[in-house]
Amino acid sequence: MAKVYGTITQLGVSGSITQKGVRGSIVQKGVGGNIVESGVSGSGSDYDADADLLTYIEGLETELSAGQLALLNTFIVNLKAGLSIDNLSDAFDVIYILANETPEAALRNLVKRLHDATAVNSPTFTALEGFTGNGSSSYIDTNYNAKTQGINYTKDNCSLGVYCRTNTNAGADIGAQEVYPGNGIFVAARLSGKIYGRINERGTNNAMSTIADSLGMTITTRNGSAYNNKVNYRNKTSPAMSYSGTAITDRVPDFNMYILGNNKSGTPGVLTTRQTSLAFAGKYITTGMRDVIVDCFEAYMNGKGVIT
Amino acid sequence: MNLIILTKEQAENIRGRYGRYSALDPIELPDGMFMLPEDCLRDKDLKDAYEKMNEAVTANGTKELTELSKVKEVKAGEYYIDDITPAPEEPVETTNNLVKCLKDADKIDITDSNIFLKSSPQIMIKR
Repeated sequence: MAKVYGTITQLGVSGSITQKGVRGSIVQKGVGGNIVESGVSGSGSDYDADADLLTYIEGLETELSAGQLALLNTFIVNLKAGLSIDNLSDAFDVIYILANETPEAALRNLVKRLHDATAVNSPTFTALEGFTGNGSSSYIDTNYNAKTQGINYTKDNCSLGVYCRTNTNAGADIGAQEVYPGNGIFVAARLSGKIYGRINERGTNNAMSTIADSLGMTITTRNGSAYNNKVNYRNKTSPAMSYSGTAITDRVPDFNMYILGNNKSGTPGVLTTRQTSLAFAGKYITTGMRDVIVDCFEAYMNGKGVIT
Repeated sequence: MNLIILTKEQAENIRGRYGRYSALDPIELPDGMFMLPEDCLRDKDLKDAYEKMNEAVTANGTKELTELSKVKEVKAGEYYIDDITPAPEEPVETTNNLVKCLKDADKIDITDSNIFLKSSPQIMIKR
């Protein structure tokens, strides 16, 4: 059931009916079977339950509330419209809405039924805010290896994004790194006073942007193989950058990406204590796409966002 | 934050996936022991590991992990996290900054980037 508009009337139904993400009136008469309703929010405006939402919530052990489903649906619909894509998988490989109602939903990949993440060593989950690392042992394994499983994320056309609700000056937010100084994927929203961005290049290569805090959306994206074909974004701005290292891209590191830290060849490192609400990986992000992503997610945060 | 201390054998025995979306991955300490955050004992998704974690607590006890920036003296045998050390331009070179103190010593923070120990400044901290 991909689209539900207004009133649904079911007469003389025998068998199983499953309704998810429905907003509107439902009238059932003479129903003789099992009816499962989740996310039904009674009378209201017409509700277009997006196909990506329905795929995402299929099989959840703990169902999400109607309000949460509506927020997720709005996020998906507006993101697709803003980016002019039909499916989230047209631009992204993974999106984790960590600011979610349940840990289960937070660790699910919104893009497709692959690469659901794993919470390792109990990072702290706070409903509708995100996961917080402890800076010494807890992290999230995305179970996504961009080298072997990347579709939109490719060596010279790719992006990484994180949304942080708290301000600290240490640790990485997402990464996968070969034995140093091998090739790395690395984004830190704030580390020693700077955004650090490295994508599919030697460990000595970084795009660095001096920054006052770690709050909001940080994106590092690449379009081309040169060291300066990558850019850091903070919210809806493009802060000034300096570069360390001038090597061109070499290869995508062959490790799962970790969130709340960096996967250092299979060992967690550069762990952070920041609270992270969103993480994604996908294709190159233009400034126009950046603004859409920032606006859609800030709206999704529904008052718990931190962009001023 | 309190740590559950595990031997290498206990760490290998408990490492792996639990529940639908959780896992345990004990982290090696500078002295060859391993640790998990005590929060794991309250994580419902890790209930299948409670027995093994409690066995480790009974056998090895727990230890506090303190931020080095928040203490005025370091004590022998205690674990600290060196949150003061800034990352270099190549931040992936940094570790998880877990340290263990080998001797008691006063500590003075001269700058944000250097920790100075009043007495016996050499090899006071093992990473």
